[in-house]
Amino acid sequence: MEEIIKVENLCKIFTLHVLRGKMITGCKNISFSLPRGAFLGLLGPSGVGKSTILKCIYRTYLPTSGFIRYLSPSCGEIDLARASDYQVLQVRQEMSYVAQFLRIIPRVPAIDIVAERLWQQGWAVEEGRQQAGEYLTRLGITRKLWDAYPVTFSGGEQQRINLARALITRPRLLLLDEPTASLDAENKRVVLNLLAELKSAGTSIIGIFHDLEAANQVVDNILVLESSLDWKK
Amino acid sequence: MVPEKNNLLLEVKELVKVYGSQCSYCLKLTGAQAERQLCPECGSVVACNRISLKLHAGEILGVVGESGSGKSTLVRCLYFDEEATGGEAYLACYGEGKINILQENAQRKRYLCNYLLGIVYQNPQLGLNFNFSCGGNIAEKLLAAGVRSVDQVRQSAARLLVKTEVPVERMDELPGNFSGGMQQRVQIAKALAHNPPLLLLDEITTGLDVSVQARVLDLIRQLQHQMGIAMLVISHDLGVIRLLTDRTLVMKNGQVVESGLTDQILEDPQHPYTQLLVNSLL
Ligand SMILES: Nc1ncnc2c1ncn2[C@@H]1O[C@H](COP(=O)(O)OP(=O)(O)OP(=O)(O)O)[C@@H](O)[C@H]1O
Ligand SMILES: [Mg+2]
Ligand SMILES: [Zn+2]
Repeated sequence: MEEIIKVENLCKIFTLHVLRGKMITGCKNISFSLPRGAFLGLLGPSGVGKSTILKCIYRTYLPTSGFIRYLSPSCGEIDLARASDYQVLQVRQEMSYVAQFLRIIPRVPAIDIVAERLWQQGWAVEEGRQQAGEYLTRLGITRKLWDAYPVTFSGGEQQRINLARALITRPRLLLLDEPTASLDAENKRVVLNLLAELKSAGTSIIGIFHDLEAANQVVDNILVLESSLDWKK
Repeated sequence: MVPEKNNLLLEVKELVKVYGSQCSYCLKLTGAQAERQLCPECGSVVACNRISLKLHAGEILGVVGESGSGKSTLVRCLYFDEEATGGEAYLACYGEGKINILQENAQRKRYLCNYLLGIVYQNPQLGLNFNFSCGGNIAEKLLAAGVRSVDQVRQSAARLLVKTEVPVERMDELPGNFSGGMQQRVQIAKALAHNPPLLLLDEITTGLDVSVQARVLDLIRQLQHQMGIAMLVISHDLGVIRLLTDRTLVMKNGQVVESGLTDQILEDPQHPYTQLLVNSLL
C-alpha cells in the first residue's frame, strides 16, 4: 500500500539560549510510516514527545534531524523537515492540525471560525456558514452559541469548535493531539464516529490519545512511545 | 515541487540605509552579531544592514523586532520617504519586475506611490493632511491616481469610508476632530483608495487603546479576506503578528536574524534574540 507519510529517525532538540544554551530533547529517533487512508494512534507517557512529533510534521517545530517524507498531490514527495516555508504553507492546505491546547482567533464568532477554512478555499460566504452549521450541529454545539465568541466557551466546547474547523475541509492528512481529552462520553462517541467517517472517505490520520479505549475504537495501528525514547509496535 | 517564484510580488535584496557620513566599515562593524548599529569608525547609524525579503501576491508578511532595529526605516525606504543607501527592490507589477525601484527617478517613484503602493503610518499626522477633511484626504489620493470626475471621487471616498467603518456623515470633518482609532481608519481608507496590490503597515495599532487596536486589526483581517491585498506588517507586538501573518521576519540591529512560518517563530524560535522576544511575551 502506498504511504502518505514516512518519518525516519526524527529528532527534535530544543536549544534554549535564554537558559544558557540548555538542551531539551523533544523526541529522538522516531521512525514510522502511515499508509494512505490509515489511522495511526500515538500513545505514551506525558512528556515523551508525542506532541513534538505532530508539531514537527506540521512544521510548527523545526526538526533537528531526520526526515519527514510526505507525498502530496500538489508537490510530489517533499521532506517536511527541510521544505521551504512556502512549500509548507502549500502543503498545509491539504492538512488539518488540532492542537492539544486551543488558540482561538479572538472576536470571531464560532461559526465563522469554522467556516473560515472553507472561505480560504474559495467557498461562498453563505455556503461556508451553512456547512459550518452542519458540523457544529453534529458536534452538539447548539445554535445559540454559533454567534458567540469561543473565548468564553467551556473546554469541551472549544475542543469541538477546533475539531469542526479541522474536519470541515476533509483534509488528506489529519493530525490530532488528544482530540477527545475534554469531552464527555457522548461527545467522545460523536467525535470518534466523525473520525471513522472521515477515514472511510479517505483521510489519513495520526492521533495522540491518552485513553487506550477511545484509541482502540478507531485506529488501525498503535505506536507506543516509551520514556527511554525508544518505541515499539 | 511548488515553484518558489510563483506569483512573487516584491523582492528586496540587500537593502541598506545608513544615516551619516558612511565609511567602508559601516556594514561590517554593525549588525546583529556586533550588537550595535552605530559604526565605531565613523559614527554613522546603520538602520538597515543588507535586508532581503520576498513577499508573494496576497500574502501578509510580518516584521518584528525591538524599536530601533530598522523596521520602520525599511518600510520608509520602500515607500521612498527615505532614500535607500544601497540594495535593490523589484515589484512584479512594475516594469515586469525587472526594474530596481529604489533607483528610479522622482517622477517614477511618485507614480509607484500613486498607483502601486499604499502605506499606513503609526502616526496619523504622517499619513493624513490635517488641514484637509477626511474626504479631502482620500480625494487627494484618488485624484493623484487619475480619477477625474468629482462625483466619482466623492462616491469612491464614501465607499472607502464605509469599508473602513468611518461614519460617512463625518466625511467633511477634519481628521483632528477624530479619535486615534478613527484617524487610523481614515488613513487606511486613504491608503486603499487607489487599490494598491501592496500595502505597507507600520505599527498601525501602537499607542491605541486595546479595544480600539482590536477593531483596527479586525478591519485589516477583513480587508485581507475581501481584497486579498499583500501586506508588509511591521510591529513589535507579537500578538499582532500572530493574528495577521503567515510568515515572519525577525530583525535586530538592522538585520534579519530569523525568518519562518509565524507559528514556528512563536513556538520554536531559533535565534537567541527571538527566544528572548517570545519569552518576554509569554
Ligand atoms: N517549544 C518547546 N521548547 C522547549 N521544550 C519543549 C518545547 N515543546 C516541547 N518541549 C519539551 O519536549 C519534551 C516532549 O514534549 P511533548 O509536548 O512533545 O510531550 P507529550 O508526549 O505530548 O506530552 P503530554 O502527554 O503531556 O502532552 C518535553 O520535555 C517538553 O518540555
Ligand atoms: Mg502533548
Ligand atoms: Zn562607518
